[in-house]
Amino acid sequence: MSRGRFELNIEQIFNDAKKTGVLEKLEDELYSFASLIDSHYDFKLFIEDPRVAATYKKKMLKKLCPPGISNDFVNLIEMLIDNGREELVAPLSSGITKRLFKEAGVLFGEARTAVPVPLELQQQLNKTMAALEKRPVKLRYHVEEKMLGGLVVNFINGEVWDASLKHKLNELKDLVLN
Amino acid sequence: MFEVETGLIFWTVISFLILLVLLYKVVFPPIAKVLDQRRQAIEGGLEKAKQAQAEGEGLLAKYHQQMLEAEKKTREILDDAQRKSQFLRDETLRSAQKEAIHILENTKKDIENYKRRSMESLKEEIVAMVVEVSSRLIQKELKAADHIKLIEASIKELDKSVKRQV
Repeated sequence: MSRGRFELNIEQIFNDAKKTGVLEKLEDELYSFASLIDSHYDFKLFIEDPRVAATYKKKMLKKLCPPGISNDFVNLIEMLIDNGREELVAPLSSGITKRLFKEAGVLFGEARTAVPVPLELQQQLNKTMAALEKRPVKLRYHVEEKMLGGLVVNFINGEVWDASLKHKLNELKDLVLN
Repeated sequence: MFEVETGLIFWTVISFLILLVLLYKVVFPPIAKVLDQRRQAIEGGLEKAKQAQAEGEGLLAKYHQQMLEAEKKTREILDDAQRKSQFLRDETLRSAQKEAIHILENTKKDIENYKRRSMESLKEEIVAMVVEVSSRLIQKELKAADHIKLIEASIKELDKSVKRQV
């Protein structure tokens, strides 16, 4: 593993994935993997530790990957591991998502809730958010057990729709104080 | 006993007359001259003394006048200094009173501000505490089904925003 000169060409990765028709799948897989690294500090330490052999990391990656994962995803991650630039998973995922948003006009976002959201409510929320944003949206659902209740939607363009209980309590607090 | 000698009397008278003539012609004129000079000198001295006295009296009068003027000036200066001192004292007193009022007002304002800030801070702390306690209670009490209901309510709230936009 060496940390030589390495440049992440998101545009090329995007175009290659688009040609092979796995763009959306790759974007989804990269997002899931980036979220996994972000939410599991131990795993982040393991994957970004330069002392751990690349072969071992790749072996563990294959073990972790569920069946049906795209080869493009595996190749991309292996390329980052080989170049010792595993910390670039998050920027790569974010870059591909933004590029896809620019290309397809779909607004990507993350909905955070305290418990998993039933499919029916997910569809309802997608519809509502699309109406609010006046464009197609793609929401990813993330469970945050520390959340008090309600939901928060963060879009990649920086917009935030906060309908959480904490936000309501804060509004109440402001109302009382002012 | 007693005999009058007319011859002796005669010659005595003659001798006396001759002496008198001699005195009158030879001795008396220089003496008179000396006496006259002496008188003139004394009169001159007296005149000078009178003049000196007059001059002295003039000087004394002038001195008195100057003394009176100096006294008058001194009184004026003293009066002016007293007036100025009084004015300065009054001014200092007024300024000190003004400053004291200003300090008092500022102190009152500071106390009011401090009270207001303390009240606000206390209010903030109480509200924050209430929110914290409420949060903990909610977190403890809410079940998964309640969370789903809350999510539904949140979606409905967002729907209302959509309707408001329309």
